[in-house]
Amino acid sequence: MNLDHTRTILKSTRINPDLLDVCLDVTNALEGLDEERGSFLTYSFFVNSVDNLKPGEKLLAALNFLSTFEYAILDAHAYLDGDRGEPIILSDKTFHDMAKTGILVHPDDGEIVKDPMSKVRLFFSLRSEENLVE
Amino acid sequence: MIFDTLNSMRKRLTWTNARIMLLTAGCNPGRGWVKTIEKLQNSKQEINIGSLQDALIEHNLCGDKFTKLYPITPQDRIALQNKIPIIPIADCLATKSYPNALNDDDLHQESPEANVVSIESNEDGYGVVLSTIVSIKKREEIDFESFDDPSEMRELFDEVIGMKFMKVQLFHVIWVPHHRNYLEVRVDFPRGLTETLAHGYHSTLKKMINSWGIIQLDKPVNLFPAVRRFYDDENDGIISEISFATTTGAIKNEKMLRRSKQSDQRKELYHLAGKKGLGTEIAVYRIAVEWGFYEDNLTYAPVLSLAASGPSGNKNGNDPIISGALIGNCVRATDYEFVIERLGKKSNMNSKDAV
Repeated sequence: MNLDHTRTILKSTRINPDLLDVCLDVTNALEGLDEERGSFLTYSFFVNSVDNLKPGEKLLAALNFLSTFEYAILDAHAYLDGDRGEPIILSDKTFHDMAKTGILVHPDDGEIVKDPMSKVRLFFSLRSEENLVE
Repeated sequence: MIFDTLNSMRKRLTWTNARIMLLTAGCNPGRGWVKTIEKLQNSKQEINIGSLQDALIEHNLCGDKFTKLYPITPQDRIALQNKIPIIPIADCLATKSYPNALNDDDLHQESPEANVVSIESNEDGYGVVLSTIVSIKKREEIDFESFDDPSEMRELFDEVIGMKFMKVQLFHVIWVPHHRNYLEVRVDFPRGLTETLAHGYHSTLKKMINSWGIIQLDKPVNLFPAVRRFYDDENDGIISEISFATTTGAIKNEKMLRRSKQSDQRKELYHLAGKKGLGTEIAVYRIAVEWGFYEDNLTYAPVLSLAASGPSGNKNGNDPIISGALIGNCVRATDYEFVIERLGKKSNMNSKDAV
């Protein structure tokens, strides 16, 4: 993935300088990844890949920006913790509906999940057709 | 009737699969079960109950099943064809409800023993449906509002989880396919049921079949040969999970988390790099194969799991034993038949390969 273009565009945006720094750090962490290696990126990945990068609001804001701005390089996905500890990956459609409406129907029991944003676990992937979750 | 059917679906299917079943019957689901039932209650649209009941019957026959296969001859098939239709149906609550599941009141009244509740036949075969009741342990989140002092509980805990034993009705099936040379004993295998219990139900059904005096079932076909064949055939499904032994003395369990075109464990970079570094063959003994196909604008995603207890069999030169296959996430007969056909091709189905 050619990230020089992304870095140039980021520097030309008018986002808060602190946020810009974190966005650039995250972009640098993606250097050299192909679609397969970049298909399941957790917070831990970003924290471990970048010096002095701590999980928290700034990292979340940067990941949110990089997955939503016009030249997004990441896609956001989510999973729920299953009752036996196994992750239940949400389809991208289900996740996007939840983000828009605040409503999540549990894919297994069909009940409305209370306070879904506190229950879903986010992960990211390099933006590509191959990394869509069906 | 429609709400008994919907409540049965709610007990037996995941919401994801229930939506598929509702859509195939021409019902537009709402957000989740509560909204769907409300929507259909208030809808002036005529609901195709027959279609939904047919779909439920197919799911009772084919949903999540732990299946063992026993070779039969054409003569056995004819004898079974004559016997099965005259097997008496039990006079019990489960028979009266079938194909719907028992409601909660009847569930607690019904006895746990295996009762014949229906004889079914379709283009794929014919068979006997039996109902049993079992208690399964279930984990549930408890709402803070349930406690006398919710705010105190919120301070102490992030989540409160309760465990309870729930009675669950199971539908097991003794099935004689029209076009395959084996008898299928399909034990219902919902989440929470242990493999030990499933084997117990298999023993019960096998004794029942043997008591008919037509055939004497011995051991089921050993499905272990199919494990490596599925692993080696990259054109047949994707592998989502494998367990294998290495010649360096390690046991590895590898699982893909995501369902996408790249989700095949065999092709995953870490797996390939490990095999290359090892330089010797891995001994695969557990595998989960998934397929995805479209029909009528809906996605079907059946799963086959074959699991031996370890990489070696008993006695020198013997394969490990896999006496049953978990065929899961099937909505209708279509996806079950899709899987069983592939399993049949990948397994040795001669009686000499029985366990």
